[in-house]
Amino acid sequence: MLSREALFLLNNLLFISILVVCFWGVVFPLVSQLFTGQTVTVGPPFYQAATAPLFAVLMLLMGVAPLSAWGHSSLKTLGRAIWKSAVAALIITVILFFTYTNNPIALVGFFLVALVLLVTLQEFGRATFARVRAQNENIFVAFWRLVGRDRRRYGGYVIHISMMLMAVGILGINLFQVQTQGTVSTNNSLSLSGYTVKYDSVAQFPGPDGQQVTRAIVSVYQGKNYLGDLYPRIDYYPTEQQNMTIPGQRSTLKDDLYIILVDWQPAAANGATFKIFVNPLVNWLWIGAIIFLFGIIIAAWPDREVERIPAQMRSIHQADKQTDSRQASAAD
Amino acid sequence: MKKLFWLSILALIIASLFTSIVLAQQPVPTPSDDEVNHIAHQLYCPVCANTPLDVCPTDACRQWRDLIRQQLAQGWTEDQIKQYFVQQYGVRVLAEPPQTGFNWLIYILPPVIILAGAFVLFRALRMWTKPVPVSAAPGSNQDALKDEYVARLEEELKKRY
Repeated sequence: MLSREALFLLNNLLFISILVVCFWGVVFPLVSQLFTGQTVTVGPPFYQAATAPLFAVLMLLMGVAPLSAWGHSSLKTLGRAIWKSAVAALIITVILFFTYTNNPIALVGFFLVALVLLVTLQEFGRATFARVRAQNENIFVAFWRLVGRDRRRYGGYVIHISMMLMAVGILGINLFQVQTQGTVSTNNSLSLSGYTVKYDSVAQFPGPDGQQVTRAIVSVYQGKNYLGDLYPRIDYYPTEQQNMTIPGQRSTLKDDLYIILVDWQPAAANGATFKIFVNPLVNWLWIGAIIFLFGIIIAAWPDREVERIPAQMRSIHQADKQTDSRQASAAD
Repeated sequence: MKKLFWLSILALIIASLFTSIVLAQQPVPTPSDDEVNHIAHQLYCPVCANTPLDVCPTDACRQWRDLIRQQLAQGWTEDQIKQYFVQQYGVRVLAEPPQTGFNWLIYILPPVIILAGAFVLFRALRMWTKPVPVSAAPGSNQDALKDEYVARLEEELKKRY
């Protein structure tokens, strides 16, 4: 029941389940309209509630499955392989509880992320050091050859790592995003999550593509530290009669600050409306996406083509070789 | 003197009247953009499909946000405001279908399919891992076949080496 084959099948069941949930969410408004004539909206709360537990189990599988054996695994063998990583992940979660968050969903998420990362790194480390000992290779050479010999497996592990980094970003933006909106006059400021955004000025000028640009200049402070100016703007395209909102953005590994010039009221010196978002950890989503591509390249890199010789040809080749060797020995 | 007394009483009454009028007209604190957005984010624009009301840039949505602000200023609760929009524009303004009648299907069907899949998988795994019973008759037959095969192998080996 805990063999790798069984876990692979469970993994497939989870993927199909996520597909079923999303497909049903997408087609339900049509089905509802068809049978009842009533239009409904199926928005983000449905998808988040329905897929979050499935993704959590999928993450747990990413932690457990690499340690299971083909054909046979029991709770005992798996437990023996995973306990060190599980204890370390638990310690990390406790540290996060005291230093970062007490949100139970976030803590479960961070525990799973830590578990999968530790298990994957442990798998890389164990196999590399085994190679260092057995083949007497330098650690880097051993690592390179290890990945090269089983690219699909280790490419898959790189993808696991990337998934966990993405999970950090998704947990951050879903559970810790904060936002505020307010209208301020010049030299006044809005504050959010340790950031202070001061409205300096606004200007309107024609843009290079025939659009009318309304651009505000705001100074961003963290506490009393001046971090720099940002330029949120709204571009109005008169031909299409459409607005395009381009946020002022500051991005770090800890969080992203987005400032949007909201068109609730026309921006002017006596007042402009800003919407400010602080999106914690969201950069890890993009870092994870880049590592994900890297993992795919490792896994899908084509194998060196094996020279194929048909059976009949092979026998002729062998006969030729034998003749050659006989001739050589005769010459000796 | 008496006249002055009555005049001052009258002045006091008029002053107190004005004070109460002024107090009664003191504006209820205007709800902030964040309070409006908190509710608008949970409602979907009845005109543009799948756009939350807090970010929709159309004039209609701007008016609806102003309406939410007015309703909040009048002391309406979040549920009352949502209910008002549902009555006016239908359940499509809610982010999720209400849990009534036909809409139950959206909540029931995915778990049922997932549990059915899990059950099928569990049965299949049980079947594959169940040890195959070994009966006496085919076993002896197999042994005989095996013996015959081994004997032939031995014979071939003897012939060649």
